[in-house]
Amino acid sequence: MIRYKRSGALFQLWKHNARWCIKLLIPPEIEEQYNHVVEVILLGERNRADIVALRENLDKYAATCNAGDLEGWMSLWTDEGIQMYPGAPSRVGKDQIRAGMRPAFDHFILKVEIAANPEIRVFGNWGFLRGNYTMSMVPKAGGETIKYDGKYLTIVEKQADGSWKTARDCFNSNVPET
Amino acid sequence: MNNQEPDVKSIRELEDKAREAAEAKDLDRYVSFYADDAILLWPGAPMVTGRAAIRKFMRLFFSMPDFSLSFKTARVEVSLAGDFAYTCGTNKVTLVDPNGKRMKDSGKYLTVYRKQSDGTWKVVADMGNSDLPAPIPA
Repeated sequence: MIRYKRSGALFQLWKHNARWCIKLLIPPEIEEQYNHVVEVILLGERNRADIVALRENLDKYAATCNAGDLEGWMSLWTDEGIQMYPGAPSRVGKDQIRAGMRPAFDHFILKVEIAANPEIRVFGNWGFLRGNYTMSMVPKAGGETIKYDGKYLTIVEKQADGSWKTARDCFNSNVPET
Repeated sequence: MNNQEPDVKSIRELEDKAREAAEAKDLDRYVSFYADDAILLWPGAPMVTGRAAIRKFMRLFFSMPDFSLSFKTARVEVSLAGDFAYTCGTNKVTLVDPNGKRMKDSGKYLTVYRKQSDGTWKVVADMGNSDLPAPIPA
């Protein structure tokens, strides 16, 4: 069943039974010149939903931190995920990541803000996110607020159910240590 | 995973060559592994965008006589389509701080590669951080 059809001067593009089909309407001898145009359009159609989903994951990362929701934050991770936390060896697997993050969630009010326009790239079943963020940590017991101005590089993996989860998360500071 | 094996091998070999360049402080060779639009996410500094800017940034470190950088690839993952890969590993850095004290640091890195149109792999994002609370005096 044809569910989507778009025509242009050079080709027809449509979806038939969940598969994309393309028919070039240009002479074969000049076909090669237009192949890169076809590739760009196909990639855009395929990745848009994934990019939207990954943007939502970034928003959920911030929202769960800000709500003090450790389990909600943990749900963003694959079971075999690795958190590459600065100032400590890598935390491997959900148990270690949860144990490593629990003190922050238990003892601080977190405020995470993801900077606008993160780079989000999708390559089939893998992708990466890159950008800046700020975080403040207000001690629940009182005391000075800790502020962090940092950047992140996150590897994400598409799961069997179509959702995206974090496989590797690395971050560091934008300012020198004092 | 058999389809990814040739690419995994290529990337491991690239990282071996990049390590040799870093240990030799061969700036041109080291920077050649980055794509034109690569981003370096070095700790303690904002993102460095583009190979030319990365070269300028790394020149500061490579020109220090007491600076050394070495790393070891631990893991390589390649996408099913063979167009994206990432590596994780460990690294060691030594340098002399502004007070003249020699410091050494052990850390970890995460590097993203993209396959170029000519089939070669180039780094598009490179990040790391320390395993230690603060660099220790060497």
